[in-house]
Amino acid sequence: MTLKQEYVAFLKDIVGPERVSTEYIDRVFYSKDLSMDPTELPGAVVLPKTVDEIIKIVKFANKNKIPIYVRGRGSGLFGFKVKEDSIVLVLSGMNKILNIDKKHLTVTTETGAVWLAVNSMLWKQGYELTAQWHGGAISSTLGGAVMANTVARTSEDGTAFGETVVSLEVVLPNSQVIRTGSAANPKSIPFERYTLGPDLAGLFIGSAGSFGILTKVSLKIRRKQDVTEYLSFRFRDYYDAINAVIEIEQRNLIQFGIILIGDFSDDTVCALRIVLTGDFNNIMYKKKLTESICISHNGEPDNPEYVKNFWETYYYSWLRGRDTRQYYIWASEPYFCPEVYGYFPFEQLPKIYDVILDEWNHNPDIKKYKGILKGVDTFITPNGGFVWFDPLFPKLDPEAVEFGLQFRNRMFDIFMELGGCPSTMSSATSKLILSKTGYTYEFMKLLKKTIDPNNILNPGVLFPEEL
Amino acid sequence: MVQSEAQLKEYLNIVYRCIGCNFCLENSWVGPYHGCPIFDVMGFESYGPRGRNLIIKRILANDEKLKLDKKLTERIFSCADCGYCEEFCMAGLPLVEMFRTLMNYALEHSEYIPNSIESAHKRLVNKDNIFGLSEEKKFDWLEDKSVLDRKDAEIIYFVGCTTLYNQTQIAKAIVSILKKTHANFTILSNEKCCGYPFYATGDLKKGTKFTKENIKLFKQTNAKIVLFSCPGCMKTFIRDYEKATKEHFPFKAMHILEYINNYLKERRIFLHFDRPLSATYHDPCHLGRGLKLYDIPRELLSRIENLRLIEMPRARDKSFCCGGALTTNNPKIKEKVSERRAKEAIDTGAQVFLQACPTCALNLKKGVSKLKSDIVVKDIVELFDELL
Repeated sequence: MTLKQEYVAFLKDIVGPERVSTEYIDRVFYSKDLSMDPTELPGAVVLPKTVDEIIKIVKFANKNKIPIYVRGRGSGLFGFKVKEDSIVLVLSGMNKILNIDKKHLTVTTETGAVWLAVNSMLWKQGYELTAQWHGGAISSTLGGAVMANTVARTSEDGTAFGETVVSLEVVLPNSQVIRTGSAANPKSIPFERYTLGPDLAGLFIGSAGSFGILTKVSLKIRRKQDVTEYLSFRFRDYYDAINAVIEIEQRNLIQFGIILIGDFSDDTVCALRIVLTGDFNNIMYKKKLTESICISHNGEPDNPEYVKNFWETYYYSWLRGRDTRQYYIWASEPYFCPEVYGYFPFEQLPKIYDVILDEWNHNPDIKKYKGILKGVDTFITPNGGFVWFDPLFPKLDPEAVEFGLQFRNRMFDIFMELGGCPSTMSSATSKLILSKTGYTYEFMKLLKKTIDPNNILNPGVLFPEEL
Repeated sequence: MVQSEAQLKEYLNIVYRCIGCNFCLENSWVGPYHGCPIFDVMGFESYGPRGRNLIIKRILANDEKLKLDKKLTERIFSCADCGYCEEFCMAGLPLVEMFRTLMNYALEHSEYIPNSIESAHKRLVNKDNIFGLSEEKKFDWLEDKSVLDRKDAEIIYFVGCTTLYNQTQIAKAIVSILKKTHANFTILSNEKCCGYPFYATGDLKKGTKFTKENIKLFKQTNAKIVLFSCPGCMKTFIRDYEKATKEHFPFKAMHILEYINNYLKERRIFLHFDRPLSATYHDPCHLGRGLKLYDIPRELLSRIENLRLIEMPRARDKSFCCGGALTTNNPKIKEKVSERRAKEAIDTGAQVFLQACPTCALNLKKGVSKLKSDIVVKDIVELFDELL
């Protein structure tokens, strides 16, 4: 069902007729992200351009108790879904870069700005985001990165995207606008996150839009590094690889590191791909030391070109030495990826690898539904690893889709059992994951009830539809 | 089952390979820019490549809720055929071909075909040119009629509808350059449209009919080379025709810029302006992404002393379309697209806005005039005609 005509007319009054759609094809498109989780169709899709428009829409939605779902580029694999008769607010059109502050090393953008677009502009001026890349596709928005608290390809400055946030501007469910950190002082600027009381930015980071609509984001930037070097190693034992990683992290040597599991032809069990950045004075020191550490833990040098190609082209498939186009047409039919992910402390990494591979090799349904193991990868973080488990199942076979989604949920259970901590939450998985945190989840629900009593913002995403 | 439906079915496995990376519409390597011109102007994904993919998926799934009504038909035809999406598709999908087939499906099934398309197709069928103008005035711009229909010529200059009937200053400049460089060339008085408007809406049967008729005319001469001023025509002959018929275009195809560049290079000629001039260059979609001719225009411009080239943010393979096929597919959106490209050129601060395609010239002049800028829109050939 589309929204009532009078509601649609009201929305058109707010943003203009060209930025409201009730067309079936738009309602289908904006009802989900890239996952295959079932969803309902929203009643209307709206493209606001200003904070003022968002405030008016929130007031209107509150008054009429219409759910609002907030969306950027929809490039996640997490399972975004909406309720029928809701409004989907697409913020990707709010993509201006508002200020690059080189003194205080921050960049402030509208929420729909795309990560690489902002980084490209910064590069032209000799700077870059401290969070290089983040979990989603190139064109995922910074608002999406904050709300999903994605995983950056950065180890030196912390891996969770939220760690790079300096300040946020948020429209609350009661339509008030707040700013966090130093920017909360109307006489100040966004330069310090942890000031003026509690860290309110932390409430919104990773909240999947449940507590407010993010409209502006200020992030840390740094001078662009002079030199980039690449290393690659193979290991015959997980523990060797992890011990090497722990030593590397203790010395804070690398920009980015990833452990790849699976699909090796020889007795290699994992590969470690490393990107190092620095200036002319320290880069060779970092490289030599990293190399020595890996070799001392029985690492065998591998082709660093794969890492270079990946880092320069952004094509993930290069990490496994495959050209991207080849990577995505390797199978005879289209596949979807019910991704499972989570942070793990170092000592749990070998266990989770064993469990994943054991499950993959011995579950008879995997073969039955023609599952393909795309990869088990671990982004190295300063204090552990962020594990991605990417199985693939045929997209056009409804039974395989259903199995794939159930399999994902079961694997999330296993991840939690083994001490894993999934970060990004979605309608499809958040209740399953967060309910295991007991009173912590109850406290989150209490916050939601207090901040959003009508439950209009992203209902059913982080919390059940009925609180 | 009609032809287009069968063709769409061939895309079943292909369309689902889209991984949703958005490379088809973003131009994030450059900054906060979009690549797909229609998405840039309209904002909803249903106007962009991912939305069009979804439309194909829903058609293939026989979704009864999907009605081929006026608004959906408008979305299907709102494609500039610029090839940006395909150039950057991470999964390597043949998006241009898919979207052309989708348009053909709409032509066969929708009751809401835009008037601009129907009338353009009628004009082509009745008058052999996209403007529907009469043959009598076809060569009013040509002073020396002796260059017409010379059987002994080595080169045929295929003028193309837009140059022939609208951007005649380009044709004049080319004839002048060919004479100055002592080329043994001719223009065929009975040349017809290359067929591009049909190819661009997926009607390969009608498109190839036009191309074949032209090839037949070419074969009646002794020429070995066909020279083009319109990259759209050139791409139609050597890419679209070959793809549709699996037959090679039986002549050497050359864009006029390649011809000039060869001439100057062989003779080591450098040209110069008396006063410094700044220019920006717009890569036409069909010349750049279509024919991969990015370096030759720049090499040519580097041969002019006192000319400073200022690149627009979106250049070469990331060039932003001028509106192209929207001239017939959706003129309203075209105006907005042309304006955005014109603004990007104006923002460089250059005095001259160069391109190498008559359709781009037509659209960008309109865009510049709408913005009331005094930047001068010119085809590169006009510049060289002045200097040679």
